[in-house]
Amino acid sequence: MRARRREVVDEYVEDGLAAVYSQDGVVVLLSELATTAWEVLGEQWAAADDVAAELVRVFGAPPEGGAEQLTADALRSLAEMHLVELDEGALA
Amino acid sequence: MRLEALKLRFDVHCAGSGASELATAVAEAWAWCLPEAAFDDAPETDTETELDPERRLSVTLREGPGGDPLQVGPSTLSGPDLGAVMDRLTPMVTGLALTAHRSDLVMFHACAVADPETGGAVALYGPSGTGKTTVARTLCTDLVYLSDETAAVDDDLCVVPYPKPLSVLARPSDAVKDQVSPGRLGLVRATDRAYPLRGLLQLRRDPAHVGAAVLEPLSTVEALPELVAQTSFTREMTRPLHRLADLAHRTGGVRRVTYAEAGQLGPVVRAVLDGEA
Repeated sequence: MRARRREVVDEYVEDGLAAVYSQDGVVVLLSELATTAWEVLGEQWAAADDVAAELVRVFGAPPEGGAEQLTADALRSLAEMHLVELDEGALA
Repeated sequence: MRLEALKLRFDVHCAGSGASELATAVAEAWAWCLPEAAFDDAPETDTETELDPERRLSVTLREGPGGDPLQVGPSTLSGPDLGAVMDRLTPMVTGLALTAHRSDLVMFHACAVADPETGGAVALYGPSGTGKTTVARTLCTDLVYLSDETAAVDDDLCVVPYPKPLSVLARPSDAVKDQVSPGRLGLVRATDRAYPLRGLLQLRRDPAHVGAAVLEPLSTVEALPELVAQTSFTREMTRPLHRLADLAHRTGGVRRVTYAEAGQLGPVVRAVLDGEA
């Protein structure tokens, strides 16, 4: 899996949390984990494993479940909010 | 008859059977939006125009007496009776005023009140149903009534008064709300002074809430989703989240106030105005 940001109207980060104004006209408040994932991503495709590595560096290894699976879930949540574009078929 | 809504000035032209009564009702309900020089203006009416029964009365907002309809947005409406036309006129005027100022004012869906001595103002924002009109009616027998619907903030962070009529249900079973002049409700009128914004409060009405209203600070980033939802034309702003965050920081930050009855808000709003909350 790989991911990249979609164009947004604006984003505002404070104390590790991001509010992102999507092109859908909705402002979403992201969790700390989602904010970190969001900040890793850019306009270019990034491998989900690279995002997972950054999340582990910032938050440590998750007590349950693989970091890759949690990262994939977080990226899918961002995609549902139309904030990122996913390429599920891409190799990590 | 000339009206002013958020500095947008226009003439009101009433037509159809009952146009004179409609003009009188508009003049009474919108009395606090009449520019000073226009107090003695006779309402412009046309009772000769024959309209069909479903659109017996109409109102057109014009640039000047006998002039063209306002081009900012839809500026003509009609209805079967005076109550229906009055009910539809308020959102039309507000919509035109907001559209006219979409690039120079930050406009919150909010009730705005002010201290009559200092001019310090508080905006209480929230979606429809959170009680803004009731809050204005309750608080503004002591505080200045700036608006029950739109807190318009200029570049100097001052609230531009928009003392529109208040929409009030005379009876719970009524389908149409009455448009009542703030003067008739005994509210305190704004003057020409500036009304600097001193507080931005997110209204949270909880019918089960007991006791005094509770005020809690919100971090700006947490407040932004709802703040944007209750602000007009944010898509047309440059970096809207940063603009609203900056406004919030410069006016003491956003706070959420939880209440059940409007009367509980008085001490909280007073404390914010006094810089004690």
